Amino acid sequence: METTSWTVGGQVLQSRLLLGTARYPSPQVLSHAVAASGTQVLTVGLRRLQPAEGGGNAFWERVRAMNCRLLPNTAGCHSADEAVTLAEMAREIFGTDWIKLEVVGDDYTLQPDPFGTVDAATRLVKSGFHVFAYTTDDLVVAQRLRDAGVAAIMPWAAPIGTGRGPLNPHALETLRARLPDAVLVVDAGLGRPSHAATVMEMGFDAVLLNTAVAEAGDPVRMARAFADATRAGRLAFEATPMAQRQAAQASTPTVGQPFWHSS
Amino acid sequence: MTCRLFLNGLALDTDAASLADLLRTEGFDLSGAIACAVNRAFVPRSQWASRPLDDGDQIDVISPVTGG
Repeated sequence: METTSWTVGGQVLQSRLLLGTARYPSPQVLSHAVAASGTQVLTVGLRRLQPAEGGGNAFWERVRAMNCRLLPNTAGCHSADEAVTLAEMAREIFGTDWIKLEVVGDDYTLQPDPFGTVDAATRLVKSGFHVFAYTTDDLVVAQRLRDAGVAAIMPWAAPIGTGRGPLNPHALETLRARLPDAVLVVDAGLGRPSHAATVMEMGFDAVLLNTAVAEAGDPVRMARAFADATRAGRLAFEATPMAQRQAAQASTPTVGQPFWHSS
Repeated sequence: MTCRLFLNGLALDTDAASLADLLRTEGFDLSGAIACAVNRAFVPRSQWASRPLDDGDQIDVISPVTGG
């Protein structure tokens, strides 16, 4: 049984797992992990090129062969101006209006700068970009990003690369409840498939992860595990989980219980 | 006329007349997957040949890498 499809940035997608391409043991493992994940969207980066290094064309060719939509990021940018310029450069290289907007506010936690993110998102949307905005789990910032017209709001579960899973589930649940019509993708901080299942059960539209797969002992197997967990979480959300109760309630009927006699 | 500029953060003396000339001289594949900015402003590929260079220009040339 498949989950429902979803639409983001003008594209209908079946897979609800977006995957990063960094930190894999080898390009071959990356290719196998992408195939195992069933993802339809890959994130990529941009960095200075030295001609002596042979350029990024080998990576570019490998990624293009994977037949996924590409989501270039603005990782490492520390201001809205930097992010906007890098987005423009990414659009020319990759031929896509999709951009994963990241504006770093703090180098130690890599916490996004909410002010720079909203500023850059506003400018990029006006320039025709479909903005996938990486942000914290702050509700008001998410509302500002929605008002700016971003394609997806992408709150962190935990700081990038920590693998700690949802540190503030209440904040994530609040985002989903208060922004019922926004595309919400949990990005960053997921470490285990159960983390992905947890946020998908909350009703998030998708998850985006990288390190949890790339740095697993077996990235290909872990890619499949995350794909299954993401699908399971989404199916559970669509199926509407039962309400929780305070007290036990037997599931086996009590009528006809043997060995019971009135005295 | 020789000018001193910065290419990907490194100082460089060049006689290149345009951004395209500079890229070619420095060994970049102009048909490759690269994009350029001068003084932190994006310069579309269509303008590389006509973009003059000045003393102190800061030029960034980027290409795709893995990313999360």
